[in-house]
Amino acid sequence: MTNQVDTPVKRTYSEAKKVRVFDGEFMPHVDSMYNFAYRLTFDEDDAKDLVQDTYMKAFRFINSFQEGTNAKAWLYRILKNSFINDYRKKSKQPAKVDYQEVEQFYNSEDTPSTATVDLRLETTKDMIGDEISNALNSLAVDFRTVVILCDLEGFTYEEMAKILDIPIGTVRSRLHRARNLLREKLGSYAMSMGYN
Amino acid sequence: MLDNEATPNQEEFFYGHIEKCMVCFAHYNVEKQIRQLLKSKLNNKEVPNALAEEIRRKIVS
Repeated sequence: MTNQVDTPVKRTYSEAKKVRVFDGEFMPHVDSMYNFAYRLTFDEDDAKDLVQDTYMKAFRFINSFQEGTNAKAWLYRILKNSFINDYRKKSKQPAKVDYQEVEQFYNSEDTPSTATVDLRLETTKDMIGDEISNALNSLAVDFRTVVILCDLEGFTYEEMAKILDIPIGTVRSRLHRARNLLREKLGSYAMSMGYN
Repeated sequence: MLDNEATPNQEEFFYGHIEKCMVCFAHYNVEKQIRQLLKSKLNNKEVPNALAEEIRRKIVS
């Protein structure tokens, strides 16, 4: 888990070549990396830091990247490891605060009515999008990750196994669990869409 | 199947089956819809403009 990259073959790129590989193979993925980071952290600044950190590491370890191989999967793997090693530790603290907020929320008497008003203000289109992202965001991070990698980014099971450092069988079972959970949340909704 | 991980043989068998089996057909459709919903309704966040530049600047320095 601590190793960001394994180094089967050691290459040495010239400085100019490094920058060329970096620009040509890594930079085009900034968009999807940022979105992945955001769906893991739920915070714009954290997502930004995570992506920056990932790219710094990618550059530092660029010699262990083989040109022409799957740069995107390689970057995702670094990002995922950074998230586990750095971000998750950091985020263990706020749990207490969250609990207090929840407690206050449930203790206040007029909460239900305000919640209803808020909902009405939203357009239908936003509600659809929100419902979907809420369903996804409510999944535990391991399940959320496989859904993002598979459905949004289109990685194969084999690529996912490499990115996540888990056997393919585990990828399958995580996806299966994740899909069951999503179906519970979105199934009736998806069904109604299907008959339109 | 829906993840494009099935072999051609498995696919053929599957399509043959759901033509006859209503339960599996419905199940398949729900799963397909959920994937489509995820893809189409999750809007991507706009990446901060400065991010790419910042990364670029840091690596050349």
